[in-house]
Amino acid sequence: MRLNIHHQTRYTYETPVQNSIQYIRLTPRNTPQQRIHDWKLSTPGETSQMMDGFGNPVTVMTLDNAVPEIVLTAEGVVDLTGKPLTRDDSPFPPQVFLRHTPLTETDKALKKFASQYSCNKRSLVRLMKHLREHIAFMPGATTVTNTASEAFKLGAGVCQDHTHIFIACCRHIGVPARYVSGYIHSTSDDHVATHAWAEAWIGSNWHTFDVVNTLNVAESHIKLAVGLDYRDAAPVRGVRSGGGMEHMETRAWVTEATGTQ
Amino acid sequence: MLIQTPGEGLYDELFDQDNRVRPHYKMLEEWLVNADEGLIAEKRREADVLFQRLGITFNVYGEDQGADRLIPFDLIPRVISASDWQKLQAGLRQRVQALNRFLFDIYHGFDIVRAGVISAEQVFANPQYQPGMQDLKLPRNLYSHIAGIDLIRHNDGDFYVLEDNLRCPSGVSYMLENRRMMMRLFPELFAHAPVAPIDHYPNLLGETLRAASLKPDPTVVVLTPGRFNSAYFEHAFLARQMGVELVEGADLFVHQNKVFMKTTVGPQQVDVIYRRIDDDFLDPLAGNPDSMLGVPGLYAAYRTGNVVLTNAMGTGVADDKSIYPYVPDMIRFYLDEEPILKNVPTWQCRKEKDLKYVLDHLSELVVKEAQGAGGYGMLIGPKASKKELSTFRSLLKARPQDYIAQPTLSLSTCPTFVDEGIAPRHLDLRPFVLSGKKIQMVPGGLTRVALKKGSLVVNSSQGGGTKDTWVMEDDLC
Repeated sequence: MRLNIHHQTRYTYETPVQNSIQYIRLTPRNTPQQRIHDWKLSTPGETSQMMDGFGNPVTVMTLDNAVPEIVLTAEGVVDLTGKPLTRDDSPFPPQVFLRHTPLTETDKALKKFASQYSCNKRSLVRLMKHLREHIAFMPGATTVTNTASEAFKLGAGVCQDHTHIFIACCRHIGVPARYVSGYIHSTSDDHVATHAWAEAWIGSNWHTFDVVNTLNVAESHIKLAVGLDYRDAAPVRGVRSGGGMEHMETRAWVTEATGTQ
Repeated sequence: MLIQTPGEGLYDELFDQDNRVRPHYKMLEEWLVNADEGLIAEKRREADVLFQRLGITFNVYGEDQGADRLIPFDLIPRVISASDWQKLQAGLRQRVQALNRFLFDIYHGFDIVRAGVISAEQVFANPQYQPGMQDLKLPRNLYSHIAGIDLIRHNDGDFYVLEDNLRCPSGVSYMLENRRMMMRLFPELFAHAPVAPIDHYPNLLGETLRAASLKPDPTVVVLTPGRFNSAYFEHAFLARQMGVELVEGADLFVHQNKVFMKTTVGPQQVDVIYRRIDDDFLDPLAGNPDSMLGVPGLYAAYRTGNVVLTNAMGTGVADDKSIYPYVPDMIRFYLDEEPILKNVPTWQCRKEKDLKYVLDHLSELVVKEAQGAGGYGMLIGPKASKKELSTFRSLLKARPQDYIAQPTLSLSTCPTFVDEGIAPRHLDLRPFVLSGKKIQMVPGGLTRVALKKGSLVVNSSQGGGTKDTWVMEDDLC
């Protein structure tokens, strides 16, 4: 399946921003599951590239002139191959993803919940479904600083929270699990195209667990970055001076390309 | 003055088992015996005043108002014979070399895990393992440029490594100031005793930091979290001694993956950062987003090879108490040598068999948190109350992987000035090992002493004191 992606994130500020530096993870990699046909990332600042420890390409943008807004645009064409996930895409052993981070730390309630499941795929699919039933998808209920335990207690969140809770449960029962950020292609209009899901290490392979969509295949997912949690894989992390209040708006479209492949 | 002899079964640094003075202590012992009590009391007061005036204070966490206080300084030096030091030095070199090889390995090929010497889970699930370091090429493959290795002498007379400190080891400023203090108060002692000098440490440190970069004349800075940090005195002291800038995060910025320092004549590129900030706080865009201490973009600059951090990020995985038991195996694996320095036998509570032994022998053992530091969160079995023992029993059962246990070693003693005169007190030793173009150290290290009678806890944060450490230049005196 060939997909067109168009993604725009716009930050607008009360007063001009004086300086800003951002780590931008909006460039997908070629993997056995996705072939990048064409990709372009535009930013208003000077950029340089690096590869982080997880193997994610990162664009580092610095802005040192006053601007009223920052617009990041990513667009391109990606082929999804439909091949299953393999073990070959991590620079280090999966045990790295056994450790908790501040965002995936478990409290007593979450531990108790996680302990009902075991380390096989069927059980983890049940965990995913169970979580989806109990945690309402509710944009605005949480922010990027909310932890897995907090969202679990609240019983509501967005894909990031569902993913953190799933990862926290996996790690608690000894299953390495990692956070994935990316895009999803969906035929329904009300879906947000920027997305997050989890991958868990079972047997000797990674397996997809998209909790929000209760999917355990990644047939319509375009992967941007992986990490221990949101912080490692966030599409944009930045700091700025000046600007006052910030307003952020993200829009993304993933559409099936017409014409020949 | 009268020197109390040590208790039965203890190794004393000054007296041998028959209460004869060891040869390398002869001169000091004669001086102590003949010393005038009034004069010594006066010198002790003088030392207090001088330390206060120098501003050498230590911030004790958890104390009300975070009060700065003096680390008690003891006037009686701890003396190490030339032959003991030769062996220690060789052992420390070997150990630090193997630890650096281990750090390179676990961020590159994982040979030691593949060979089955240590399990993948123990290395990679360790919270100190830093995925962000994966495949990063560092000059000379060095990770811990400055290591502080804690040693004790057991009653068998041998030195044992208690702990490797590979992140931001502190205390070297006290080592240097203690020597200065002794030379100032008792210049006549140094005229007669062949004490190996240590005052070139800042030069060696500067040399080591410059060697961390491949640039011919790199710009080095010391990065401190600021004056509220317990070791701020040391950060400022070392920067001044080396003649480099002491900076805080806000003094640095990153542009095009390069780090610059703001100066009065414009930005100056920085090549080596001797950082005294923990990994997670170095860059708010890579670690803790709330960190105000670090520099946004620093990780990208590091990752792209435009700046060197000393010590490297992610060194903590090798100095963890759960990794410590494997250091002798690392020495055999990477260097194909037998370890010169001994490890303390260690039970890893994560192993079922070890946990059972520990629970059965709790009152004989010392139990420590694998991630703990500063003497917090530990149990000293023989001195613990019933309640403390039962608390630890439940802690161990709940999270066995967080704890290790070791036999209670009897730390050696050394004569120390205390209220009742000169009495033996337990001590340890932290030498500082510098890895640059070669591995170097100054003779000695920081000696910490437990001032309470019978106490084995020497940490400054737990009320321990320090002493000057003398390494003798030859064994004949």
